[in-house]
Amino acid sequence: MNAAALEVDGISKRYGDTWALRDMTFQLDEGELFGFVGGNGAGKTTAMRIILGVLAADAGEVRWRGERVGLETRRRVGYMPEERGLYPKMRAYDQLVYLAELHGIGKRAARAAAGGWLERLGLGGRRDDEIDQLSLGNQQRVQLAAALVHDPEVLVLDEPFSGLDPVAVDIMSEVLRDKAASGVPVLFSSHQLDLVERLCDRVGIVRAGGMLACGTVGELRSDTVRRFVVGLDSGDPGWARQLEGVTVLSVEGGRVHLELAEGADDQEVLATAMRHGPVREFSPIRPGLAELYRTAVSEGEAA
Amino acid sequence: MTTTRTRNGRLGNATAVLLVARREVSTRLRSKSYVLSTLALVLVVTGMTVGTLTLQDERSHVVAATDEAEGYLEAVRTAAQAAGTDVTTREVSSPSEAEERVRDGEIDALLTGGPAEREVVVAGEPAPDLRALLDGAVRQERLAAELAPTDTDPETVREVLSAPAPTRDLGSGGSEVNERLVLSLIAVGMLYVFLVIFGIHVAQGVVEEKSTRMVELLLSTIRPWQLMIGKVVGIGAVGMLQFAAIVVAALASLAATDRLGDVPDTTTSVAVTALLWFVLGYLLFATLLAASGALVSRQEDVQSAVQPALALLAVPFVVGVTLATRSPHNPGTTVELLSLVPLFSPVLMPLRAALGEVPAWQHLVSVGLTLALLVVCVALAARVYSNAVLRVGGRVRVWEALR
Repeated sequence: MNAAALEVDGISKRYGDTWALRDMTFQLDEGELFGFVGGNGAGKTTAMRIILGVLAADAGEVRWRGERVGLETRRRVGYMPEERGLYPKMRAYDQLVYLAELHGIGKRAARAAAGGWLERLGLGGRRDDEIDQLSLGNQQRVQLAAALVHDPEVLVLDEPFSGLDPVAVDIMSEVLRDKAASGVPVLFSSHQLDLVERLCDRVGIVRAGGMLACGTVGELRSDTVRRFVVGLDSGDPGWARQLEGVTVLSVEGGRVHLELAEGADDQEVLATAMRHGPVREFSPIRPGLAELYRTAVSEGEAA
Repeated sequence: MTTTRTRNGRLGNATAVLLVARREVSTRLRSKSYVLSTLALVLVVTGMTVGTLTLQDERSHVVAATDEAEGYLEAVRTAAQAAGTDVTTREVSSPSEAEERVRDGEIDALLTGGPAEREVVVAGEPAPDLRALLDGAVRQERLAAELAPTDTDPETVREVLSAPAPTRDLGSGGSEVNERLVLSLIAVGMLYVFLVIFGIHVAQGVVEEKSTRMVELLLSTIRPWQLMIGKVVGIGAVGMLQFAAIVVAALASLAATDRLGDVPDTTTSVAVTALLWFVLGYLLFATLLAASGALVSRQEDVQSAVQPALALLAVPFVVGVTLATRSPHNPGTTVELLSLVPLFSPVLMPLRAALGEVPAWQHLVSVGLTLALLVVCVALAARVYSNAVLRVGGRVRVWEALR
């Protein structure tokens, strides 16, 4: 079967006159790490809440392995809400056992899982601490454990990296990679675009309740215009101006930044440049996710 | 089977509710404020019970007699029994030592001397009932002595004199009704206080989950109504436990002081009715308070959010108690009719049960109507709860949440 594991199909949500989500569609395959990026209020949290059934969609549906998601299937999802939610006056361990049991895990297995995850996340010694006695970073780790304690088949994490110190970011990344490697689709949102780029197989850019662009970073890049930097001894970019489909963006000393329109041949650009003197540098500029995001969002705005 | 939990995460309704309830019970029993308040209540109740009994004990008069006056004690005992005065009699051998004990307050009155020169030795003015008793006994003896030369048998005279006036009892009323009224007001007052305290705990618990966003995590695995009912049941169990601790403390201190037999017979049936209405009233108001709590997001707003629901409890309480105590002997039709109205029943039914017999059909009707309202309230509250519990920020209006 080639169908995606988790399908989000045309979900919409309206609050009064404003659309929080408008016909949002995307899929996650088994074992795929999917990054959800977008500004505040773009609709990421709303989409995640609908996937978790915490919120009801006005239209559209969410399917897990081809079946519409109901309460029973939702129990197999591990969820980390954006605004952290744990009982402040309850011990970390008790809290995890409780949540595991609420997900239908037997008492003994729940205890083993709670202890195991606290150990793995470096909180073995703090298991009997009440949540509000823990530092924010440690609370975050307990929150992650809460999403994992029932051995979920899907992970939906809203801003799992916010507020984490570098060590915790590494632990979190490792856990997410491990989970994905074991076949669990992982959907998470983040504002840390470099992290998303490093970690994710695919990225979805969300704006105004809709999916603006979706794919691997490479795919997103190919949608955009190609840019090159050419380094010559002379700083005169006149040679490039004569070429068709080539725009000079900027000149810094001998380095000229060019943008090639569709159909323009990069080899011809190189050949022309070589005719004007020795070429010290000729390289494509690969925009990072941050730049792709900015481009996509500004294009979306113009549209 | 409701407790079946399979690997793929099936969770029965009952299991979900019980899990939520169990967490409420275990975290609340562990909280310092609960333990301390229960201990304080138990101490107060024990202190009050023992204190009242000790005060009553002091009303038992100690009357002693020297060897010559020994025969006199019998007359005092008979008179005391007839008058219902609590008298302990004692015999002493040495008058001087006995006088010392009178001065110490150990003996309230000492009788000395033979029949001709009776003397009552006291330290300060004796209690009026003791005075009357002793005077009566002395008078009786003198009269018997006067009549002795005639043919009359002194025993017969004594008997005639000590026999109580013929009395005809017209049934319940007077002091008995007052005793019952006090008992029922205590029961209903406790009921009211417990409903308010634990009802507000429910509302605060709901807001705690809302303000910490725990509710989002919980609702991803259980339904809103399961969470709401579990919370109501769990906190109710904790409340019942505290209630039970108080009753046990009261009974234990009665048993320890050998006064268990003094509890009026009607107490058990009153307690059963009060318990039934405590459970029903609690479920009714707690669901309303849970829904009220779901409307706000911060603990500071709980007080104002629960006002309407608390008014629904306070108005029947004030109206009910006022009407029922105005003429406790004969509550009247208004009270009878009102006691069948669901929101009034939790207050008026225990009151009526304590004051006199309530026909079985009225018990059934009131319970039935309240159960019907309970079902409606649970449904509405669950709806309000589901719709409001995830909305953070300002206060959600009830009508918005019902849509």
